[in-house]
Order: sequence, then C-alpha cells, then structure tokens
Amino acid sequence: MVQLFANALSDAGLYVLLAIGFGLILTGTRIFHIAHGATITVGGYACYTISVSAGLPVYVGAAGSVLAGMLLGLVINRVVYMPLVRGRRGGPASSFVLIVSSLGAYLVISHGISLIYGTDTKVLRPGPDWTVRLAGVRVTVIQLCNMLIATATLVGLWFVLIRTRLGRLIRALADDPELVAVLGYDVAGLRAVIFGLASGLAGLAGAFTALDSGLEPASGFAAVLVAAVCCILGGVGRLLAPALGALILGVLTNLVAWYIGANWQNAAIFLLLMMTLLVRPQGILARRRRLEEQ
Amino acid sequence: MSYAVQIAEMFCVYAILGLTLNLVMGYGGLLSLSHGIFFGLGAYTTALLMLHLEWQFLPACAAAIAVCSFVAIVFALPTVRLRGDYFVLSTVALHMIGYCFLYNLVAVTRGPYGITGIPCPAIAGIGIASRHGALAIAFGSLVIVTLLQWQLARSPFGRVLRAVRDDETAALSLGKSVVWVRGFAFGISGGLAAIAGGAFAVYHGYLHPASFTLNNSVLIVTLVVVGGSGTIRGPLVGALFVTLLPELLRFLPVADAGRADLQQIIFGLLLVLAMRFRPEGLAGVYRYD
Amino acid sequence: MTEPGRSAELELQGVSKSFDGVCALNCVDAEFRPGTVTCVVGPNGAGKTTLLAVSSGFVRADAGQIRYGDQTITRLRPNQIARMGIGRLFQDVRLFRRLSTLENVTVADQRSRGEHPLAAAVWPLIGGRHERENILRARDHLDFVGLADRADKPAKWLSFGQQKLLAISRLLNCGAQCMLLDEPTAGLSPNMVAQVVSTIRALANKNRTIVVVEHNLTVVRALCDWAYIMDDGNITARVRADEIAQRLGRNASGIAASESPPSQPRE
Repeated sequence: MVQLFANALSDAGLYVLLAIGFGLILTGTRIFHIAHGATITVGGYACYTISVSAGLPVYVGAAGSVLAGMLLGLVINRVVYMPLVRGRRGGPASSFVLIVSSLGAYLVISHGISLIYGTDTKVLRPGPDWTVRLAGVRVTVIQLCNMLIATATLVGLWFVLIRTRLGRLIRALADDPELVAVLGYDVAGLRAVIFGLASGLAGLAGAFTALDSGLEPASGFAAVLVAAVCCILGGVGRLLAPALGALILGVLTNLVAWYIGANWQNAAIFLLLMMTLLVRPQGILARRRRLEEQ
Repeated sequence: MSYAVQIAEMFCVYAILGLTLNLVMGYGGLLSLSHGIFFGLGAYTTALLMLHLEWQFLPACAAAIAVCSFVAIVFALPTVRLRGDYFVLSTVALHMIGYCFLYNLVAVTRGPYGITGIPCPAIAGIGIASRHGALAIAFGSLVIVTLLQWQLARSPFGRVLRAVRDDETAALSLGKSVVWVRGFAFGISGGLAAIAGGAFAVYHGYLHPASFTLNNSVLIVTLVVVGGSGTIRGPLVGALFVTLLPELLRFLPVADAGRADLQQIIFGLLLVLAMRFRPEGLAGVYRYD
Repeated sequence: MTEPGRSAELELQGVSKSFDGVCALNCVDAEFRPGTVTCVVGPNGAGKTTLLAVSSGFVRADAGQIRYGDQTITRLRPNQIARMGIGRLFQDVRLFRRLSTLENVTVADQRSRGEHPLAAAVWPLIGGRHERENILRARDHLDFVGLADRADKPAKWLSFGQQKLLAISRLLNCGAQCMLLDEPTAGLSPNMVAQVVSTIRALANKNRTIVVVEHNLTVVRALCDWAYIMDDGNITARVRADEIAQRLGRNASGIAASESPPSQPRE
C-alpha cells in the first residue's frame, strides 16, 4: 500500500509538470492549448536526439528539452494564436476557432515528428532502472527526480507568481485581460512569456516521460488530456491548483491499475473528469463561481 | 473494380458521418470530438445483434440507431450547458470512456481480437452477399441520411437550432429551451451516425476497435471543417476530399507509414489555414464566429 | 395560472442584486400593470437594465420576490419566464444574425410544433398549416415595421435601426403579453421613433403590460402613463406622466444629459 502511494506520488510529480504549464496557459490566456501535447512530444525527442543520437549526458538532453519546448511554444503562439486573437473584422476569434487551430497545429507537429523519427517507441536508457530503497519503498532514480523537479517547479513558480512583478502581471492578466491592456501593459508580450514558460515546462515533462516510459510520437495527446483533467479537477483560475489535480489523478490511476487493471485507467480518469464537469466544473479549489456555464 | 467499390464505400460512410456531425457543428455551433465512438457503437451494436442474436440487418440497424440516440441524448442533456472548451473536453471524455469499454469488455466486444464473420445483410428476405450489394446499402443509407438532414435543416427544428447557435440569450428570451434543442440535435446526430456504423460493419464483415479511435473523431471533424459547415454539400465535399487524398498521395514516392503521416500533416495544415482564412470551409456557410 | 392571451401584473417586492460587491438593485419595490406603459428612467448605472434582467430571469435576485399574476417567478429560468408571456427587448438588440429577417420573426412563434425533431422529420406531412399561418403573421409584422422587402435577406445586413425594428416585430410574433423594452428607440431616426412609440401605445391599449427603459425624455413623455425614477440601485420616485418633466428637472445632472436627442446608434 505504501508502495502504491509512492508510485502515485511519482506519477503525480510527472502530471504536475504536464499540468502546471497547461494550466498557466489556460488561466492566463484562456486558450485550450491542445498543441501543448506536441510540445511535450518535441521535448522528449529533443532529449532523445541530444542524449542518444549525439551521446551527450542526460542533463544536457533535459536542458535541450526545455529550450526546444520553449521555442516551439513561442512559435505556435506567434504563428497560430496571435493572428486569431488579434482578429479580423468580426473581432477576436471564438473559442471554437482557437481550439480547432490548436488541434491542427498538434497534428502537424506530432506527425512531423513521426515522419522524421518513425513511429517505433524509442528508449532513452538502454539498461535497467537504478532503484533505491527509501523507508521500505522501492523507487527508481527517475521517479525520485520526477518528484524533486516537480516540487522545485512548484516552489519556483510560486515564487515567480507571488513575489515578482512579472508574476503579478500574469495573475492580473488571468483575472482581467482587458484591464491589463487598458493600463498600458504589453499584453502580447505577457502572453508570449506565459507560453514560453509553460512550454519550457512541457519540454521538461516530455523528457521525463521519455526517460520513464519510452518515446512515441502519439503520446503527447494522452499527456495533454491528463494535463487538462488535472487542471479542471484542481480548479481553473488558481495557478497552482493543478498540482492538487495531479495528486488526485496519480492516486486514482495507481489505485485503478492495482485493483482493476491498467487498461481501465483511461476510463477511470475520464469518468472522474465527467463527474467533475457535471457537478463542480470550476474545480475543487475554485476561486470563481461557475464561470464555466453560459 | 473492387478498388473503386472500396473507395465508394468509404466515401458513403464518411459522408454520412460528416453530414450527421454537421448537424451539431455547422447548424448547432458545437464542437464534438465524440462522433467516432457513435460510429463505433453503431457498428458494434449492429454486428453483435446480427451475429449473436441472428437479427436481420434492418432491425439491427434500427436498434443501433436507438442505442446511439439514447447514449447521445443522455450525454448531451447535462453537458450542453458547459462553456465551449469544457463541452469539447466532455465529448473527448465520452469517446475515451466508450473506447475503453469497446477495447476492454472482451466478453462482449472481443476487444482487440475484433469481431469477425459478420453475416451478410438481408433486406426484405433477399440476401446480399457481394461487395456491390453492400455498397448499395451504404449508398442507400447515404441518400436517406442526406434527405433527412435536408429536411431537418429546413424545418422549424433546424431554424430554432440555428437561432440557438446564433444567440443563446435571445433564444432563451423567446421561450426556447436551449438545453433540449441542443440535446436533441446531439441525439439525432449520434443516432444517425449509427447508420454509417451498420453499413460499415456489413461491408467489411469484421470490426476492430482500431477503426474507432479518437483519431477517427478528429478525422470526421476535419472533413466537416474543410468540406464546409452549415450546408448539405459541405460534408459531401469533405468526405470526397478525405477519401481521395490518401489515393492521391499514393503517387508520391513516400513509404507507407510516411504517407499516413503526410496525410495527417496536410489535414492539420488545412485545419489551421481554414480557421485563419476560411472557417466556413470549401462549400459551407457558417464561420464559427 | 396566467391564461395565454391575458396579461397580468408584474410585481417586484424587495428585490436586491449585487455584482461583485457593487449593489445594482437595492430592495426595489415596483409594480407594472396591464394596459399601462411604465417607463424606468435614471442615469447610467442606476440599475435599470438589471431590473429588466431580474424580471426576465436572466439574473438571479439575491433577495426579494418577483410575481407575475399569481405566479412567483423569482427562481425560474429565462425560457420558462418567456413561456409565461414575458418578453424582452435587449439594449444590444441580439438578433439571430445568420437567419433571414423573416426567420428571425417566424422562429419567435411559441406554439410551433415543428420544433420537436421527430415532428420535423415528417414536417411536410403534418405541420403545414400552422407554419403557413406563422409565416403570414410574420410577414404582416415585417410589413408593419417596413421591413417586408428585406424578408429573405440575412438579418446581419440590416442597419442598426432596422435591426431594432426587427427585434420589435420578433417580440410581437412571440405573443408576449408583458414586454420589457430596453431602450427601444435608441439609435432610431425621428420617423421610426414615432412609429415605435405609436406601436407601443397601441399594444398597451390592447391590455399588455409594458415596461420601457428609456433615456429620451421626449419619448418618455409621449409614451408612458407612469414612470419610476431610479438612481444607484434604488427607486427614488414613482410619478405620473405629467409630473415627469418637473421631477427630473430637479434631479441629478446625469438625467439632464439624456435630454439631448439620440445621437449615434450604439454598436
């Protein structure tokens, strides 16, 4: 049972990395960034290219992932979203237009990866996992790193969002974008920062997923769905709430895998999502009341 | 010749799927990524009823329509009140849950082993054993669905659906129940998609969950967006495009797997370009604004 | 139960509503009787539109009761309230932009049976007569407001003034017995203003209950029997038509600004 909880924590750590970035974009720019999944995939493949193909050490690979993710996020924002958000004669684009564009971008990028690298699962660590025994529980080094990095990310993000001017601006943007624009701040620049930051995290998450369970071009979609579920569970409108969603999801997936079977994990995750959407769409730690309904 | 028949059958199936999804998207203004699972549920229901309970094709198809309509309405009534993005996510959830059941409920659906040996359809006592016959069924279904769709679009139901799409608040102020209008649209859309499933099942004679993944839902959405939203001809154009593109790509000197990726890349590019420059698609009228 | 075709009194008792700590309605009491036109006047932000929103169910009151006839409608949904006979004209018009002008009016018909999808599928066999009457009635309404020649054009091609008139004829076809009109004459030319005013007067004479939020005092004087003056979420006075001018002349400066004739149509 404790082993279960340890696995859950480590999975939650991974989900945190996935979800925090997605949540940052969703809260800060109100865009449902499906292409975040593509960023995650690219991060993983960047790490693969650097570590395996070029033979450089893993931490260089991870750094490369962050960089690649960041770049891709900024490009997607500039090329796909900005023209739509600026809008044409009818005004800014509807959420339908944004989400379909995001889907299109995801398809292009993930299948581009597939075209270049092939669809076979790539392995980043040819060799057994190094495991460690801690307090009677067996964890792999990767899982430990997961949890550590996730915690570090949360702390770091908390610091940036609460203590810095930039963070305050981001929170203001999440609350009231029109007001921020009217006050003369560079909203486009802020959004770019949000995308860069969140996508860097996504790249790192991609590297960790790759190290943990191998690399496939299609895995990004599942990852972004998990991120979305964490955000909705935890609460939209609070920038660090996805972490709670990640924890719940980590526990749920491991419980289901243990008692029912790993192949039913998806059904469990999405049933939980449906229940949340129907009963409390604003999430557990919601700050705003029911803005999710018309 | 059988190659052309195959293409024609694929066109008919995708045209039905596109027309039915268009009811929800182009006329209803909602994005649904769950259409693939109604396709699958319809196919599996028809196949299982024919295979295990020895039902005839038409009653089996009718039952499939009933099942899909029921699931669709039960899903839609509580969820259509959700804000745009959240509704889309709920349709994804529906698909993923449905697919999980399809894949893992091996006792019923035989999961990854697939269903084989679906009996030949018989209509009014006449057995139809050939591919051409099955194509005729698919084409006949397409004609029926097109007529129904055209009729619905012209009717007061179509009018109130478009009104709700254009301005929910104004529709409420006229006494319209937005939830039921959208719920019914979703229910009809899911129910009629079952027809495509039935035609698909009896043409191929076997079923596998891999035909009904989320990618399939994305493909149907792509065909509606690119072909055209809010008209009858839009999804027909879209189905033509989606059916012919893979064939055109055969002429390129690319490996098989690469071709599939290239196809998806083209679809993705078209989605992005369409949303940016021509949201109504090639032959549509609704711009999702 | 309010009979269809018979209008009733709309009454608000102690209705309060706040948005994010800002009080929009503060313990408001008001009554609107059948056969009368009651105007609601006041400066911007006084709570006039909120009053309409709460009465039509689009906003949930924090406290108080709203009654229509012998029914309490405080907790009902907007479409339920609309079916009881309360119709609303929005300040920003809210047409169905992609529907044709005629369809905007025909869709308002509350008794259409073809709106159920199963009926719609066999429409030509069953629904013809009712729908034909609906279309004839709609064309009459359009003719009355001068839009008959635009019947088949998309509503978004109409000018703002024409859109206003279309919204009014849509409300007429809805068969609303109690009408909540939010600035019905704003943005209209003087001719159209006169036309709208005479239409509203005629409706009141047919025993409908009419509530009009207006800034244009000329219209207020010409149109209404009674007026509520609102300021800062409170109703400060209830006056008869002839007393309006002198009452408002003495009030806050915000009212004086609205004495000027209607300028640009609002977007």
